[in-house]
Amino acid sequence: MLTYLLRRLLFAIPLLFLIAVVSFIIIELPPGDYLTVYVMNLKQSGEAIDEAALQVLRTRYGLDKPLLLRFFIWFRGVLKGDFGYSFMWEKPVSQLIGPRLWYTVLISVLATAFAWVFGFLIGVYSGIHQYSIGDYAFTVLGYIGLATPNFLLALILLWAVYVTFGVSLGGLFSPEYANAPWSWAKFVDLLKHIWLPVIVIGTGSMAGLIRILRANLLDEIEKPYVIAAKARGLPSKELYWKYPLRVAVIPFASTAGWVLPEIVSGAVVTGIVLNLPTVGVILVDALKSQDMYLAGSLVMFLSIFTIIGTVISDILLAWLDPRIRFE
Amino acid sequence: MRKVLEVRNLRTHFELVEGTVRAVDGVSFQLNEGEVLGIVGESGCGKSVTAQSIMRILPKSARIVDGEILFWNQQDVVDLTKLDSEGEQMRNIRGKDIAMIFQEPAACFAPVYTVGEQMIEAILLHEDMSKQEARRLALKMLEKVKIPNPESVLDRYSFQLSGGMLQRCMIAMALSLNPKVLIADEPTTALDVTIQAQIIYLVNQLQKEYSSAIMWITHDMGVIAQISDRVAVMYLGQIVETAPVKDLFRNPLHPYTRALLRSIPRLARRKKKLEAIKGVVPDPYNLPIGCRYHNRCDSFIQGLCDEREPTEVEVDVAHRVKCFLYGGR
Repeated sequence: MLTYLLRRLLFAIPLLFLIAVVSFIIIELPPGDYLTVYVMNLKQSGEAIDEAALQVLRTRYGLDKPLLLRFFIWFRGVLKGDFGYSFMWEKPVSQLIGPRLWYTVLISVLATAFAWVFGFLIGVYSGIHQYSIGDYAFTVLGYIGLATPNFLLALILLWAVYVTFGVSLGGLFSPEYANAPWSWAKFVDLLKHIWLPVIVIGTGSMAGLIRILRANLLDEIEKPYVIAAKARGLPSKELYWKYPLRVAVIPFASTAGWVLPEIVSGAVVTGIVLNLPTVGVILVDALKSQDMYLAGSLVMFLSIFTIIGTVISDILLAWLDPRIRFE
Repeated sequence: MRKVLEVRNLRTHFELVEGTVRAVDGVSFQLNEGEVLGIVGESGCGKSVTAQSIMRILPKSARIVDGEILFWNQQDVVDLTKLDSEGEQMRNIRGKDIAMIFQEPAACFAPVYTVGEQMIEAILLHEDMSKQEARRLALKMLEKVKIPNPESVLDRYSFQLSGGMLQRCMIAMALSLNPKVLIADEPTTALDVTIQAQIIYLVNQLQKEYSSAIMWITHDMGVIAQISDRVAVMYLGQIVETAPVKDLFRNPLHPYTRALLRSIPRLARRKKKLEAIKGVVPDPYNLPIGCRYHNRCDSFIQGLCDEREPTEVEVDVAHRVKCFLYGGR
């Protein structure tokens, strides 16, 4: 088990490096760089272009150096915790994404927890009470949850809250707390706002988990080992928890790996609609304007999340399923 | 000989969307202390449903609509059909007094617990002992079923063991509480012939030691000949003939039994074409009127077999048959 874990973690290191290379190349693929975009914008607004100033900028940002060299300069910086400089925001990347990263992780973790807890409870109920009224009701809700785009759900909820309570829940804080230092009141304000994105982002994966768990449970309930356990005299309540559910819950763990990156990249539209300070929103802007150090760093973080998520789900899987552990 | 189990006129039906399937339809037999009763029949004839009815582990769509299943427990007799299938009394009987082994040993152990964990669970459900004692008992049972390295097998998972090994484990688990009745539902069907022979030998040995009554379900006449004292032949939810094993093979009475015995391939008669029973098993939603076998029978009597159902006749000592050829009008 320990060697398995160590091997998984060791494999993650070269993988991260490869991801960094690939993401950097992809960012560089479109012709031009941030300065071309910058010049274009200046031209459009009819401002004069100072060639000398451009040249200064080019050398300052290292844009005159070849791609490979630029990559290594950036990557060396990353290892030291310096993620480069955002052209667009004119700020160091680390300063820009630091707090956003934590809010993203916070929202992701809460949304995942929401999806898992309710997905698990409803999935178990639906699986054990197949074709009951409750099962049908949850099935309908689940399909609606799966089919509704997150941003639409976000808009509907925003509107519903606004109509009934007369408050706007966009963003994570009310305006008076947005730039205030941390205090108890600010925390309470955060709680008042955060449930909305958590529900919006969590609903989709919750609906998916319900379907997966229900289907798995129904598959497992009829298996010979369940009947054999029943024939030993196991009471049916214990039977469900101990046998079919124990096997049916395994796919839950395997989805854990996707949730984190999916929430970051998938919730961009929701993030824009709800005005959330998450990284998804600035990633889109950075890609549009070829703000390459910012975009590269964000893609790096997404990849790290993906790898962490996958390692976590691998560990969970190995722990839950001896068939994987003993392979 | 004292009875341990008696099934009287058992009817277990499945209510399905397509209609009612009368899987077990008026089955009666008895099981005596220490004997092996073989139940033989082709797939779908209701052998397994009979076993599941006795254990009260039928699927949700099945219901016992009529009949009694009497079980002699110490001094008193209980009718298992009257018990709540989830109730404590039935649960105490299930696994302790009546144990069961199944067809596919590899599928009958959950993949997420070790064999030992499942054996110990079975013991602790019925015996008031510590985990260590239960483990020692499980270990002793594995030695009894001749498993090499029993200590390490206890800590293995089902996917790490072969089918034959797992079937031994299942037998060990079933016998660990010294049940009065052991129901074996095609336990050797999924195993290859050499392993099958070993398992049958093993059960024969253990039966002498444990003197449990065994109800051995199979579709294999060869297995029946090797293991049973008495045989019941089932066709479409009914027992058509019951006889001591030697009588059945020497003097089969029911046309179905005869046809079954004729369709066993024999190496000595090499060039002859293998005989098969003519026709197909009727649609279970639409059982034939009269004797259920009449449309495939060689001795079919027009106007009788397709109109009335024969009753059971005792032709010889303990040899009963359900056919108009021997009376039964």
